[in-house]
Amino acid sequence: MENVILTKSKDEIIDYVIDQYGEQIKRVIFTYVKSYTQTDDLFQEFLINVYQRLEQFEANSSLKTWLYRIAINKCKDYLRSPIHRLFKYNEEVKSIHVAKSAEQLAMENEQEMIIVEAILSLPTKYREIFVLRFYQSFSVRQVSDALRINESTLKTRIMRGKKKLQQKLGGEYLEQYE
Amino acid sequence: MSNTNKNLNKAFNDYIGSASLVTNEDRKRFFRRMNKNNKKSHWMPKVITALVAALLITGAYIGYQSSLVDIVEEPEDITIEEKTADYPEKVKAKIADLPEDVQNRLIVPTEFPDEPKSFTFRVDLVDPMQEESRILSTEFAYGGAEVGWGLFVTTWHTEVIRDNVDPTETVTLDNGKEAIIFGNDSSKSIEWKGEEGMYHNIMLMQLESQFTVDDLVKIANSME
Repeated sequence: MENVILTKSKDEIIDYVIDQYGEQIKRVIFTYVKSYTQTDDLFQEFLINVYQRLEQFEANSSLKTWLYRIAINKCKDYLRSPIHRLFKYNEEVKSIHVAKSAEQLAMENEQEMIIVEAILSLPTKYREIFVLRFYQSFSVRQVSDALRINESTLKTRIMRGKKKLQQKLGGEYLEQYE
Repeated sequence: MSNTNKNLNKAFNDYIGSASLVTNEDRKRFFRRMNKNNKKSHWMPKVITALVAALLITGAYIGYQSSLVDIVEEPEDITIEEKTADYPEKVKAKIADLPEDVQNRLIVPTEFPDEPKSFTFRVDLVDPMQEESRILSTEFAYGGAEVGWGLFVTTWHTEVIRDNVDPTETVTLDNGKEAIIFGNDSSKSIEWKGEEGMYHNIMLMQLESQFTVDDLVKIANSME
């Protein structure tokens, strides 16, 4: 039903993408690069890529999954790039941690915040799964489509990822989440 | 969404920031760039094509004249095209698109930890938002997760500011260049300055297999 938007002009489609998915996609980008500046730049690259590849979108697929896939691939390209390895963009990540005092953390839902920090410190291949599943509320099928990995590999990674979190957190915190 | 999931979702939002990440600036920035691209005049490429064609014809004529005078053939260096003859077409096409001076700087290994299962090639620009930007680096990636290792061969084509690295040792390569080695348990890198002061870096990532510094040096010495 949503794919009706694809009959509009490219500019209108981009407006729609920004309005409907921009915020969530930018947040996912942030979980990969952990820098607001870099998130802004990658979001621009994502939009350009969407604009250029609109003709390739297959109308019977999910627009949402297609958009996330493009954004995720942009992030992975960036993380693999020598630019990322050469220049550090971690000032803002540091400032987040510095800005949040112990008191603030205590006021926030502490347990969940600890889990989030642990998830974001996992290697990308586990982190991205938990972000899509528990933050973006993707189904296993949607995660599998967005990351282009088969469901059995996905389940194995979820299991291994949970084990790694367990080691970090010292308990099975994620078991209570669906 | 259950309450526990809502709490986790909220914690993610709190961590990243409660203010909206999408601003009007994102939209403006995108449409500014698209408008700029659409307004570009198209006479310049034609002029450049005409000049290149004229240069090629002149060059070919001069070359033909010289070949009549000088029949002594000099041995030629192996071109990157020959070095990568067995690479996937997609990789070869990307290389062919590069300027000649960049192509001439490319070197590739002939030794690998094991038979590579995948070959990819990427080009990074100094300013990724500008299509006409200078090339910052090129990277050949071999291996793939399914073979348990990944090999990244990077050449920087412009001056770069290096992160501070803490080399574990220094070695002399067969070409006489001094190279530094650094890394950790999951990846090891070797880096040296090539011709014209450009950097070459090889990073060997070990997903399941274990590699030694000697393996890395062997790969570096096989670069041609």
